[in-house]
Amino acid sequence: MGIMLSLQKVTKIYPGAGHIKAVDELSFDLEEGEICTVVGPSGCGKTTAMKMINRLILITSGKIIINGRDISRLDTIELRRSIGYVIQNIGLFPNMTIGENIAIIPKLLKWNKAKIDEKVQQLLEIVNLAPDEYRDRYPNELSGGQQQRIGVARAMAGDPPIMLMDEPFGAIDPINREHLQNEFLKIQEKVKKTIVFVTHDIDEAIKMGDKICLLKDGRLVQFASPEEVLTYPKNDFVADFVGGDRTLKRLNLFTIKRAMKDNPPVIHQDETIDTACNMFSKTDTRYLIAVDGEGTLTGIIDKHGIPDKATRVKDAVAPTNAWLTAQSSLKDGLSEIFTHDYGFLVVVDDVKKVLGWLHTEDIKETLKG
Amino acid sequence: MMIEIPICPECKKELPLNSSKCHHCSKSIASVEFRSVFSWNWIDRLFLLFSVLIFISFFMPWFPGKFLSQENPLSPLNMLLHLVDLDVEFLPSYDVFRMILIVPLFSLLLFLMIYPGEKLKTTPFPSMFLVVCILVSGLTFIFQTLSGVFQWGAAFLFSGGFLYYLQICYKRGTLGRISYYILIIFILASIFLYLSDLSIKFYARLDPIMLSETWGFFMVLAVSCLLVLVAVLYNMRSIEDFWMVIFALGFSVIAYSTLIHPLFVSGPIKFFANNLHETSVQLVAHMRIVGIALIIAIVTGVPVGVYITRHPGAAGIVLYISSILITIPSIAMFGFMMPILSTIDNAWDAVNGIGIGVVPAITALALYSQLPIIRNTYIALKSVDPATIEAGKGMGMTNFQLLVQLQLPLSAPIIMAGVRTAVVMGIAIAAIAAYIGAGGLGLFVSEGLQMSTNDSVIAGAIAMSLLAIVADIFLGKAEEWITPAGLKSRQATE
Repeated sequence: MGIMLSLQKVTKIYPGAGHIKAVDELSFDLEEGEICTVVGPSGCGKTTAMKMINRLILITSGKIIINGRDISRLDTIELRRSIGYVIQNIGLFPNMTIGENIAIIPKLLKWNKAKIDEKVQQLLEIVNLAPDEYRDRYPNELSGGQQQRIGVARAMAGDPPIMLMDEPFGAIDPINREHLQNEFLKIQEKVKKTIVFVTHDIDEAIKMGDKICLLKDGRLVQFASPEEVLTYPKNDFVADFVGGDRTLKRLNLFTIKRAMKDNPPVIHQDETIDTACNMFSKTDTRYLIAVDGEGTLTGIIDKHGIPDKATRVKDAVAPTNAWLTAQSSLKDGLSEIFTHDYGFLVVVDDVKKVLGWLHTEDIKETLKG
Repeated sequence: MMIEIPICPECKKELPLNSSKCHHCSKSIASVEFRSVFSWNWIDRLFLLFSVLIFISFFMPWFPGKFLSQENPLSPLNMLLHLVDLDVEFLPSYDVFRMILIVPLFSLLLFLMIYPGEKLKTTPFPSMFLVVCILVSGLTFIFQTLSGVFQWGAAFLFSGGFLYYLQICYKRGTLGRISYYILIIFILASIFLYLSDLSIKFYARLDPIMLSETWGFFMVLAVSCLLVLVAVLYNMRSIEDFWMVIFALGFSVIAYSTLIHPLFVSGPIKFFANNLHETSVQLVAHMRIVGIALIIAIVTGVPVGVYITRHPGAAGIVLYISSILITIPSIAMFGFMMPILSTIDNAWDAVNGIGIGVVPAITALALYSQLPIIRNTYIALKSVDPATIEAGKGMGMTNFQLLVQLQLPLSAPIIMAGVRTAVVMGIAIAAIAAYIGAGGLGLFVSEGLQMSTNDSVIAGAIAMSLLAIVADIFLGKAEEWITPAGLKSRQATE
């Protein structure tokens, strides 16, 4: 993976009052396929920094290099056509249908019609809007969330290696926003674009970014992975900006798989109660996890809850929903642990096969690093 | 276009949707049957209009026969009739031929509209229909040759039949209530006038040399046919209704001689009839002045509007100047134009100069039209959502592409509204242009004022108002048509 986008001492000074530097010697490198979230308080120059990449704002000094080429040497129009651009206000063309909107860049690039149609079809599928239903509708017939999906699809239409997104989900209500974020991450897994993503929401920045670029007054404060920003904030400003609950936020960054223990006390449901009792005393736990022949979770046995008449484990098992898949975030895991009385959580795979278990202590250790 | 209508399975008559009981035969209905009937769509209506225009133009003495002979204008039909009967004494046979040839021809056109394409080949009606046309023509011819009490009788019989048929149509619900009342009033008024001897027997007086009368007759025949046709055909749902058209065609002959012909005896309508050729010439002249001025105004105004959107500094000045232009009284403006354009004449040593007449008129109108067009263009372009423009720019559209693909389509309705204002204003101002020798409908007004002929003044005013109204309606439609579909469609309901 080579470096796709490189900013080298990029500076922007707006003419006028006091020659304030809107962006001051900003430098960072972005590898191919990475999302870099640019975040900071309002007026920190994040949008300015982004717009300099497609030359909507002209650079005062410094260099921006895309794929080894200095953008100041490229034709502005060509440059913009090779960069996907999504803005907060979406900016779909109301006089064109959804299909025509998505086809704008391919048409500018003079693709042939068959190729354009195919691309429109493909993109509508990617953003989860049925092509036949939506292609010929107009933007004002769609909800905000749907429009923004079209905005993203439109930006990807020309197969740009780089995409710039200026608070793309900023105008969407929280529920839909979260949904769109997840969907976008899924899309990104497929398309692997290099993305500069401007946001003012630190949670969004942590969630979406492979790298976070934290700006203050036009200066780069910290450029690092979300984990690093949360674990080792460079200074008080960063610590303050990411918030007092930054440790909790880190929970979002880890999967359960990373923290779980893979030696849970498992017992086959056809075993006798005596075997179970032996296991209780051997492992010194109150609960046992019952599985069937394939290792699939069937429930949990409580040491103090075994009925008198029970002869087999099967009779004593209480069904449970204290389980999560290994891909879930630690935040969900912690929440699930606190929901139930067991003090732990069963970790399963996609077909509910038991993989391990998770205690609060495991989480603590993971956070410690 | 064919549509399916519900009919009663018992009496086969049309029913309202979702009715449980037939209001014709009072039987309750288990399940309705359907019958395909003809229904008008806009193509059909366009075709109707077109055929009516053809019909009218057939009789226009000045089209195109005028170019063959100034003294004795000949319409294509007249020429045809001359071929058939070259005898100087062709007048009596003239009517027979007209009725026998034209009425069926026109009716056939109508029929083609009602049963377009395949339907015409498979239905037995065309032949029957032609027979009916010839019958009606023959009857009309007989009607005009009848005298005294017989003619009265025929008129009553005909009107009575028509009335009765209207009644039936109304009861069946195939005729709208308003059309019904209009037609009833139309018929009753005609009968009243006929009885009260106010009528002028057109056929007794027919003298084809008298242009106004001939013209008036044909025009009114056409218009009254059109009126009745629109009223009836608009609601036409079954072939039975078609008979009404036949009645209507025949009836318009009576209607003309009783209700409408008297209008031609005096007043502005008579003026029109007598000066039809002149009116049409001046109408065209008027439209030409306004039309050319408008094209110039659009070609200059829209780019200026675009320019000032991109150079806000110039906007104030340009809008200020065009506002000042519009405050100059039109007569003064025409006055200014003459000396200015005359200097060009002098410079070029022109014999037929441009200092007077159409050129200064067009120039002045084009100047007047600047303000509405520039201002609307400016406002429209300004009101395009900046986010959309930023998105377009960010995607790598050039300024020109943005203008053509985004800004102009979105601004088109507002620009069109400006054009509309300019046209209506232009039609009014062009009246003054008659004073500088540009011609146009204003000529009737200015000449009428000079010669104290009120009819002329009123006729000119009416013609201009009608022109303005028609232009406004037409441009309104154009405005609707030009609005991008995406702006018209409903908002998301989600």
